[in-house]
Amino acid sequence: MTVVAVESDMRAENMAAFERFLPAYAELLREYVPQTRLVENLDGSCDVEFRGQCLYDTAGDGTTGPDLARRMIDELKTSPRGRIFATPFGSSSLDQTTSVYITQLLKQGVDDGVTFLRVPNGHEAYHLIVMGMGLGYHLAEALKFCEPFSICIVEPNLDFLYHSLSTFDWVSLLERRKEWPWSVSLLQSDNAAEMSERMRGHCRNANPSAVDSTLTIASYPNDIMSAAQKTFAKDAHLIHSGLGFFSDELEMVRASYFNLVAADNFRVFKHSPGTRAGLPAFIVGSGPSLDQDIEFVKANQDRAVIISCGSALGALMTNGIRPDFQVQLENGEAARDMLVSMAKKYDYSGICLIGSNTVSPQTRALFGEGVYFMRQALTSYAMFSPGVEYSLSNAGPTVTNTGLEIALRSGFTEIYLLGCDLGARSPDHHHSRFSPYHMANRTAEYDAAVTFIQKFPVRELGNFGGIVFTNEIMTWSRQSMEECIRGNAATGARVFNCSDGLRIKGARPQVADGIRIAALQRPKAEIVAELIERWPEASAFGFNEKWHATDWRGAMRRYADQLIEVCESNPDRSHAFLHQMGLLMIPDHYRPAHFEEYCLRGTLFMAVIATDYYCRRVHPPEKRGMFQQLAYAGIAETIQTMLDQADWFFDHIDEIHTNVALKDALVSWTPDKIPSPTV
Amino acid sequence: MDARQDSLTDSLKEINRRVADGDLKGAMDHCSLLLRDDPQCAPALHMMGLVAARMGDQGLALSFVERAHQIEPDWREYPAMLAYLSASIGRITDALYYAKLATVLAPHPESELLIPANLPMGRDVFDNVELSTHWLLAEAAFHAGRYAEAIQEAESELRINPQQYNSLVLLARSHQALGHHDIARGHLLAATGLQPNTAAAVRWLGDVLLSLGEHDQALVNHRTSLALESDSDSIIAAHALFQLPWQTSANYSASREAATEWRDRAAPPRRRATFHEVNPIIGILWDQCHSGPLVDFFLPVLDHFKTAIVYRLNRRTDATTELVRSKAMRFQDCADLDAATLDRIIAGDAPGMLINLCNSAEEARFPQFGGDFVPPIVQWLGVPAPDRLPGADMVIGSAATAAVDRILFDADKVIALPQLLTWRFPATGVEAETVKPLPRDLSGQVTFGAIGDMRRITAETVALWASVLRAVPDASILIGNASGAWPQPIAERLGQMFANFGVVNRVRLQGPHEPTTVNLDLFGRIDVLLDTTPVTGMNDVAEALWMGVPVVTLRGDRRAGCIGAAILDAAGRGDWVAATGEDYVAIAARLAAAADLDAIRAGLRDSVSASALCDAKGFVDAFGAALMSRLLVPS
Repeated sequence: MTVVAVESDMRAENMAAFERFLPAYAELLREYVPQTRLVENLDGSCDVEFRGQCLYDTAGDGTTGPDLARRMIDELKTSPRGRIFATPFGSSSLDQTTSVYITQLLKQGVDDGVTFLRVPNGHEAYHLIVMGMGLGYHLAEALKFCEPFSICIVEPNLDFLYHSLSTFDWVSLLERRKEWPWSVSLLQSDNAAEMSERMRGHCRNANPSAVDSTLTIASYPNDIMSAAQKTFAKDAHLIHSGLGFFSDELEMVRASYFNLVAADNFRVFKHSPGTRAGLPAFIVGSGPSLDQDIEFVKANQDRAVIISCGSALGALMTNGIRPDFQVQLENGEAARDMLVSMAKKYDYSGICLIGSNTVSPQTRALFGEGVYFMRQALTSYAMFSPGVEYSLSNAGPTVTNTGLEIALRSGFTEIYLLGCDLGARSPDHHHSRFSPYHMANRTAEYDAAVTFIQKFPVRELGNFGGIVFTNEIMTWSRQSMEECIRGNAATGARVFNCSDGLRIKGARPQVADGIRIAALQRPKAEIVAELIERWPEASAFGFNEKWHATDWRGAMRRYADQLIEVCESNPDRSHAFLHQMGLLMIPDHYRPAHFEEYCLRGTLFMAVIATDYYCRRVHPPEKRGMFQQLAYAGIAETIQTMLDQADWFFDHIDEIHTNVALKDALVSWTPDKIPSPTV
Repeated sequence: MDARQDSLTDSLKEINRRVADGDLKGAMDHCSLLLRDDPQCAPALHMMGLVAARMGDQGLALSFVERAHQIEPDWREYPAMLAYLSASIGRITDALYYAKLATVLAPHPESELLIPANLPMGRDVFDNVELSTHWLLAEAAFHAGRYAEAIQEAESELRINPQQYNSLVLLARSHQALGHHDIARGHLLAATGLQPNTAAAVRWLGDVLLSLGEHDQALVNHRTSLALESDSDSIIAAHALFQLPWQTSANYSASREAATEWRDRAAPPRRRATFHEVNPIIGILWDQCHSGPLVDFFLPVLDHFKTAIVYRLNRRTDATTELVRSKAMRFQDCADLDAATLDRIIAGDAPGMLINLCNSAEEARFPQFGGDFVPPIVQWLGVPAPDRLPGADMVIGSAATAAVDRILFDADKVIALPQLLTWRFPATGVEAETVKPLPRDLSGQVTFGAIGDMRRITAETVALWASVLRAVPDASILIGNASGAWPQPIAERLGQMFANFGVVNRVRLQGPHEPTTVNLDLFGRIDVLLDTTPVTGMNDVAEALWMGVPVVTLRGDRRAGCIGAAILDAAGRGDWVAATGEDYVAIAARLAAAADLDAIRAGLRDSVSASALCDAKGFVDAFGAALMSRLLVPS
């Protein structure tokens, strides 16, 4: 082995590429002094040497980096190691539109003699995750092997990045970013949690529809990278969670229309940066552990603002606790029905509704004061939002994480999560016994009983140690909370998790019994009233004018034409189709998404994911082209169907509001059964 | 006179220009030049205050401007600046006084150059009322292990509030952490003078006195701090107990009494551990999860504990913390949790046992467990190893510690393993880590070595070393420490201690050397390491063996006195463990005269590598077997 001279033409060219495409890393690498040495093997390849130990030739038997890289690829040819394989969508997770499309496609395929393999019949991967750059030998081989569109490189050791400038052609790689920034991303970190989150974020931003067959490789053994890889694989489902679907988007547009355009007795939630609420906030969910802490809430109800989340209202009112705010997130009538039935027994006066702009329009009338926040990443957000400061970025998937963001955005700096379990200690015990979910046999006194149909098949770490049973929606909710806490760290807010449920990063576990809250210096009602008055009144926003001034249908039609054009181009590779569709559906890296993109993309994502899943499993392989053609034509047809449905929707929006049958038809809309407003 | 005035004007302009450019050091230097020419130059002092305030040191700023005001009491600018500075650190009364005074005084001829345009004047100074943040910054730096920064901030705070007890204590502890024990003593004496009835400074002073080798006075301080401590759950009191094992043999029974007294008086009875079911999870409660002496013993074990949950109690994070985080099955940050929450988390995890490695000042915890689940709490290692940790149900022991463990624990509460510990050399890859040639071969005379930790160098230790020197004529002893710097009180004390035995001329102190994780310079220059008594070495014993240096140790009367023996037993060198002082001298003399000492030196690293001391897997297997046998037998 000989020591390699650090200065070389390759290195200079690579540095220039870094300066152009990743300037922050260029700066880091320019001044960096490595602790290790780059050494050259007899065959001309390189290794990194530190105190006599080599990165690749660990046993001192002459093994080189290229040898190891080739060996890894040989193994990957016959092994699913490092692959993320998606599970096919079941009919329960597809909307009506996609369901119709995929059923027809599969039927046609099977009729034409197609069967489907358990795993794809090729080595392609849309996303390639490289754990550890090393000197780049593994990446070089993997690029040839799986022909990725998006590459995410994480490297805990800056030394290796530094040396790779002399061994790897970064120029070609980074030039991919000219076309599309998500083609290559780089993260230098030695924190496993950060790595896995950033890897997931990369995939979601690049193309959430392309998770299936994602390949993760490790260029050298490392405990931190292994931990990150495990977490990434475990949470990969979150990459394509919550993309939405078309009829739901339309339903939320309808709700927003009646909440914002056809009414004026509300305020609009607005962030309060730099202000201090001046008292603690209790975010109350209706998880099972609320039962243990309900006395604590009762004892301190005059010393903290109580923000009740969804069904927690029933649990609180049953115990004689009147929250200051009631947070509602979900559109649809189930949430409203629960409130309506509870209102027969309990008086909501003095409680301020903080609802999404998409909640059922009848909700507002139940409460004295009403405040709407704009829910981001929805069609209605693009249509109505007056600005990002009026919205919540982490609203959803559950009302609990919404409640937390409301508190953080309203200037609360001492926040306690109570009953925000996001799961349960026992898989059979969900929700507080005071919540409407456990009222089924007590309808005589209270007829708001509702059924909880979610299961808790996932095991996760508990806030108070041990294991908690949960599900994917709840872990997604937790992720939202964690992002929210992290995103608001600069406010100095402290979040204490008193719930006996999932552990939430950034929220300090705290037994409620140990909390002492000081008495307030003036009546709480005064402080709450001041909080509410901070939020501007509806009249300031001109929602009505905005609704009538925009050609919503035309925008959607023009967008649909572009999508159909991609389908008609009939790309050979399924991933090429995913990529072209992805570029049209996710413009977020260069501008905020438009109304039409939000509206169509949820369902289209589902259709595209399912299409790619089946196209790459077609057997025999020679039928793949035929099947793809069928699929693309089916997607084009689906887009056309959605356009028709949108036309129908805009024509009948006022009638849908008063006609239950039409409202139901909105969800089960098919072109051959166009509902008549007279139904 | 005019020329002098012009010169002052020019200088003030220059100072203002430098301040505007952000060249605060340059501005300060320019002020110093003015003062060199005229020590009574009030404008120069005033400008120094302004620059110090810009540097964030309001205390220093106040002292400069106050001096300027004393020299020239008739000008408005000095009290105006004092009003502003006083308000900025929350001294409202002073601010009010100076603000009023400024309104009745005449402006200085150079007023525009002395007062920045945006400086609040008059009642506007009260828009700028703040509190000093130096204390908070000092504490944060201290807990992050940035002691020099902690010293700087604490000193800044003390310039503002000279009577602030907490800053004085923190300043002392920062100096102590850097090995400036004599300076630390001075600050702690001042703190105890301020608050004689507060336990903290008294106890920290006890620690410092130990580090200066003043064991008798240290015991008095530790006992006093225990007496002053009224809070039954006090970590301060518990930590005082940790320090008692450093005591000399003469004081040890008294220190044990003190510990027992405190336990009887304050420690609440702990509920009996329960064994609900066989749970192979091992909880590890650790308050020093960062670089420190236990790391080399703990990390190799953690490599093989597949089901360990580490509860980290300290705030400081470094590479070691991250390593532990990556190796543990689960890693829980518990530094900010209250006792009830910590107990509940541990109970939620329901570990089969909880190994408590706590041994630090304010971050140690001794869980009580209020719920149904009470895991057995197991004591293992510490610096110094405590005899019985508060709340410990069981102890991990070996033949080396059996005699001590039998006294303090019931026989069935001792998890007796073939070896007490396992260890890995903290390699850094420097050239000096290679085993050096035997110094005796070069000089013709034997050089004994010793570690200059004054907590361990008692009169008994010195007596023993003196006996060795008498038994080996012409031999000398080289005492080393981490930096090779010896504060005068320590050097004098060591000289005095050896002079009492007439061997002071054969004692040398290691000179300044390249600071390394391990004292490689010392091990390269000695033939045999003489361990201390009654508290033995720990890391240094294992490191000496790794560097080819035989170690002679004397088994002590306490757990902290058995660690050297435990290491040598595990390394297969039980023949270097003495049971009596005479044995100790005989072993040392034998090694000094051994013809094969160079062969021992050359082969020691390999034999240690192959021994049980470096067999972490063997240790964990034995531990696992013992653990399972415990868990399967309900208590």
